[in-house]
This record gives sequence, C-alpha cells and structure tokens, in this order.
Amino acid sequence: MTAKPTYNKHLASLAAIFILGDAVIVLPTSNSGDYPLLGFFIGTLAAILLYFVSLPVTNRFIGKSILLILTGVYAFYNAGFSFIRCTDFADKILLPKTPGFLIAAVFIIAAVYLATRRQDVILKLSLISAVIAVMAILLFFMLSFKDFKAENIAVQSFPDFGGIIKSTKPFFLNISLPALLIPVYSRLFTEEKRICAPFAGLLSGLTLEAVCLLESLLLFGAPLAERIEFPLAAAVSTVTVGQLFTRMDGIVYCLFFILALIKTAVCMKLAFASLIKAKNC
Amino acid sequence: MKRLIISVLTAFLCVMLVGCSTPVGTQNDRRFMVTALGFSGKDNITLTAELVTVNSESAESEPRTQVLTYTANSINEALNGILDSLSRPMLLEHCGVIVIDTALSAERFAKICDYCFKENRITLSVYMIAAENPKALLDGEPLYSSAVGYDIMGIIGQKSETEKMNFTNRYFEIESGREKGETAFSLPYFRRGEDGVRLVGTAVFENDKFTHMSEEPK
Repeated sequence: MTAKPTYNKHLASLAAIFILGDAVIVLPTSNSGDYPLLGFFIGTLAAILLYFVSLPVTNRFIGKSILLILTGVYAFYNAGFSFIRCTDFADKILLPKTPGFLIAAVFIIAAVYLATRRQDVILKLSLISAVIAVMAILLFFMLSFKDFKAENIAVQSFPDFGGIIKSTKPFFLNISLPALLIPVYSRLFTEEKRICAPFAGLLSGLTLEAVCLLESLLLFGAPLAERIEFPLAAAVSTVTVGQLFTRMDGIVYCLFFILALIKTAVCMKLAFASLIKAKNC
Repeated sequence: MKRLIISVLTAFLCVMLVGCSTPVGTQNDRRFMVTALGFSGKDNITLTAELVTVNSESAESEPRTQVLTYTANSINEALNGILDSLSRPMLLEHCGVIVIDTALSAERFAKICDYCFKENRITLSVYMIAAENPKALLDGEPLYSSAVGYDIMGIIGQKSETEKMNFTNRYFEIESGREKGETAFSLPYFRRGEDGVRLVGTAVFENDKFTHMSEEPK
C-alpha cells in the first residue's frame, strides 16, 4: 500500500512563491521612501503576525460566506494585480514591440490553463519553480557581491513616524496582506489544519524577498533603486562574468514570468473555489 | 481535443513571439551592434556611434567596424539620424562604453544620464569614460578586439585586475552617487595615440562638469 503524499514541501514552496509573486518584480517601488529596509522589516513582522491571526479565524469561519466572499474578492484583486505587473514588465522590457493584447493573451491563457489543472499540478510546479528561484536569486546575489556598497544601506538620519509609514506601506500592501490568503488556501485545498509547512514557506518567501531587496539597495542605493521601475531586473543586468556572459537579466525574466503566473493561477483558483463555496453556504 | 487546441494555440503564439514570420532569405542577416556611443557638442548634441556589422549568414566574413556621427538638437534625433543611414535597426544592448566629451556642459551631461536611464536597451553597467574628442577616440582601428569600445573595456578590466585600480565609472555607480547628492565623480580619461587608445589619466567632474585632470596612470 502506498502512503498518501503529504505535499508539505510543495505547499511550503507554493507559499514562498506566493509571497515573491509579483512583488519581486517591482520592489522597492517608487513610493518606498527613504527607509525601504526598515519598511521591509516592519512589513515582514506584519506578514508573520497576519498569518498567525488569520490561522484561527480561517479554521473557525471557513464555512461562513462572509469570509469566503472576502477571500474571493481579495484573491481576484491579487490575481489581477499580479497579471498587470507581469504583462507591464513584458510590454516595457521583454517584448516592447509586441502588441499588448498578445502578451496579455499568452499570460491569461497560461494562467487559466494552470488554474484549471488539478491541485497537485500547481503544487509540483511550485516546488520545481521554488528550487529554480532559490538558485537564481542566490546566484545573482553572489555574482553582484563585488559591486555592493555598504554605504548604500547606511541610515543617515533617524526616521520620523511619517517616513516609517511611507516606507512600510508598499511592503505591507505587497507582502504582508497577501500572507492572509495562505492559511485560507491551505485549508480549502488540502482540507487539513496545517501550520508548519505554509509558515516555513512564508518565511522562505520573505527571506528570498529580503535577498532581492538587499541586492537592489546595495547596488544602487535607495534613491536610484526607487527610480528604477524594475529594480531586480536592472540589478541582474549589471552582472557580468568575464567578457562572455553579459546581460544575464534574461534569466530573471523567465523567473518573473513563472512566479507571477503561479501567483495569478493560485489566486484565480482560490477566488473561484471560495466564491463557489460561498454560494453553496 | 482540448489538448490539441491548446497545443496548436501555444505553437502559434510561440511562432508569432519569436518573429519567425520573416521569410528566410528575403533579407540579409546583417546586424548593427553598437559597441560605443560618444557624446559631444555645445549648442547641439553630436552623437558618435561605433558599430560592428555582423553577418550571421556567412560565418567566414569578419565583423566590420564603422563609426557614424550625427549632430542634432536632441539625443533621440541624433540617434534617428544615424539610424536613417543604416538598412536595419541598431542593437544598443551590447553598448559597452559611453564616451563623454570633457567640453560638455553640466546640463548636457545630465541629459545624457537621463537618456541612459530611460533607454532600457542600454545596460546600467555600461562604462562611462571621458575624452577630449569622442569621435577621434572611436574612429580608428581596434587593436585587441573587434571594436575600439571593446578595447577600452578590456583596458579598464586589465587595469582593475593587474594594477588594482578601483574604477567606479559604470553608469549605475555614477548615477547612484548623483542621486545621493554627491557632487563629484571621476571618469577614466582616454586618448588615441599611435598605438591605439590608451588610458592617460582621470577626469574629475564636479556638479556634472569636467573641472580638472587627476593623477596620470603609468
């Protein structure tokens, strides 16, 4: 007799990808203020807090239509946002001469196709993608290491309350709030009260996001990193290995696509499932 | 049936996206790779582009280097002027060096930095160097590689490695300092001699304007 797979590693990978998702494409955003690292740190704490707050709420109210409707609406919003960011990136950087509708069509078809597959298809794809994401992010971080300047992240003055709020806001919206959906997804699709695997995924996702953010900030400094529309892609474009390997940003383009695609597909799946369940309540 | 439709649709989109619709053999396969861009001029901007023509159809043909210059009111106009004299678009993605005329005004230098920032095809890690006359610097036979721009990159790499000279002259390093409010930066200063291009010193810029030459490297 074969034991039923637990998919714990897969679920952790999915949670990590969910946190990276589209955030890795744009963070730090142009409105990240003067203290993006501090903002990220507070955003990280908020994400962990929200995760533990939403766990008991999800377990208790999973059958209530109000929670399911809210989840459905927020998941749809996330899917749309992830879709817009990825296609915007492709339109501006990857395929500037290709008609926008064609880029959108490719992404939507791929996302809908993935969202309509069985649960284990998404989980397996997440595991493979997470391994690739970890390798790519760490590799480019190490290759950029020689160009890092510690003074780029040095804090020159103590931030005021307004400055802290301004710097935290983009991280709270892009990293902390989406963490609310992880326990709901885990509960709806695995039908078990899992805590450790999604939490490990959340922490991994936050750690990888921190590595990406540090790479952009150590290379460019906060003022320039905020001006750049896609900071991580720009940071990777500076990596050269000898005279042969230049412009290796193509590798992260693929990463951006797969991360945003998985997040969009998961959000679509979650939105449909929760709205259908709410209808049947 | 569903799988078949998806497979056909995917294949169709892949073909469209990679631009395979161009009929083979109807155009030559020459590509104009920009290896260096030079900026000079006072009232108008004079753009000098060093191009390497690569013909991927015939593997035996050597890459050909040419230097084109155009003067216009703006950088985009100058670039379009050069583009008009070519049969196919220029590839800016492999531009390795940006040559700044030491006579350029601070406003003009700021505009060049803005242009490099907005032009996604130019990598942020492009080297910035200074010269008295960008056209004269680039317009000559390359000695060590297929283009003078790549020769310059090689010299900077060699000096960094063997003589441990710490250059911080890549575009993102200059721009990062400017964004943080640093008023001074330095660029390696190159000159063309009888034996090709060589590094002769360091050009110091203050408030985006060339002020003086610093130490003379051996």
